[in-house]
Amino acid sequence: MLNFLDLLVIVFLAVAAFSLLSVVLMFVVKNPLVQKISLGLTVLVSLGLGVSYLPSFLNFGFDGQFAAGILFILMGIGGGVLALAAKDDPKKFLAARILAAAGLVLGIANAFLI
Amino acid sequence: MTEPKRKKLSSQILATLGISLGAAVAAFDLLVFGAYALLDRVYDAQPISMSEDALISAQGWALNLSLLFSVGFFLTLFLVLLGNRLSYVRTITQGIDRLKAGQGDWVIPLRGNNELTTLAVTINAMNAARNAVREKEKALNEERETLIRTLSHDIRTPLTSVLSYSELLLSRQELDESARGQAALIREKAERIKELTDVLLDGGKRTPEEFPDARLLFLQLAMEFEEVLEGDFSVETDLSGLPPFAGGFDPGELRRVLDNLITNVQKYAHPDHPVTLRVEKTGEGIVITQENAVRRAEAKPESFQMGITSIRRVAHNYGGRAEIRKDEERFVISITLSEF
Repeated sequence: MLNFLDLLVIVFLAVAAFSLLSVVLMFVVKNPLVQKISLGLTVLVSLGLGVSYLPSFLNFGFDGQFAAGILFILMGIGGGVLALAAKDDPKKFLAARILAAAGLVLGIANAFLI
Repeated sequence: MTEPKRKKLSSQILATLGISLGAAVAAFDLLVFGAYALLDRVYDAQPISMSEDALISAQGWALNLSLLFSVGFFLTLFLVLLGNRLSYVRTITQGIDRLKAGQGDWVIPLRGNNELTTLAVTINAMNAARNAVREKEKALNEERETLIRTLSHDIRTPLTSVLSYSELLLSRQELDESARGQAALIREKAERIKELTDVLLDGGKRTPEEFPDARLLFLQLAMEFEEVLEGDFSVETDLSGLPPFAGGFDPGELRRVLDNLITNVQKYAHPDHPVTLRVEKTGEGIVITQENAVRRAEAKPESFQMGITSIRRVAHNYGGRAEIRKDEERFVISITLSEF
């Protein structure tokens, strides 16, 4: 029977591993379609993390961690918007990927580790 | 130009393996560290009552799942990196396919610095050399064609005089029958030369005509064959296997074939044995077979190779072929015309 800590660690590892994989694939794979899909998944995970901040906000109000979380989510969303605006500009697309990846990694660290 | 020092593909694949392994170990550490840190924080805060056994169990989950995810991460990363490296093989094969398809000016893009790059450089160099040879060949062909056309044009100038004067001779009433025949022969041969120079001036352009009953054309050609040779040889023609049929033929081409056969008979055939010409329709098309006994000449006459080449070219124009069977006693040539 899984206890609360087991479930927590499983969820954390699933999110972390999935995020790590999508971030790495976003930079390693050369196929632009796979890059776009990875970017989309990264942004989605960022939004998911954003949802996970809501109980904390309801319990503890607007504190520093919540503010940082919102910032990281906005970074992820900004990456997605920049990717849409980049069209065929590889530099803008690279910047979008970096922004989304940074938002996700920092968001995970903020949500689980700080 | 010196070839730059290339890296070994095997070393690069090994490096890819090492990078993937290193990244997987780092991912494992990161996941385990993150999970442990999270567990410690939650356990220390004790939001709900938890025993130490629960913590140990969760740490076990963290270790095992991190290991599982890291293995998956390693495999994914290694396969993606290997795919990136080996995708250049596909670029090279696509380039080769383009070259095979006739895109001679296609250049395989150079990527990386390993043995595959050397392969692409070599293929590009071979293609460039082939293009250079083709260009040279094209220039030589153009030069040859220009020469042929110039010569053909120059031949026509004196030929006009030959034609005009032979015409004039034929119009003279005082000529006896023998001289008239000789003048007619001169005119006929001069006309033939003119037709040939026309073909050369047109760059070998063919002018096939549609014959509702092409059997008549072959009958006429067989009669001409017989007529020219009958003074010196016993000629037997057989068109019994040729039913009436419709088809497109260039009479000039067929006449050239016939002329070459006649010249061959005159040079090589034994006059005491019959010369046969058989034309028949088979499943493969129209087959013209000419056969004769070989004369044992002390002095070897001029080679028949040029004539054979001309016959083969005509047969090729009709999607067919010319086959020769020859020994010391007999000579047989079969000309197949398949598309007409």
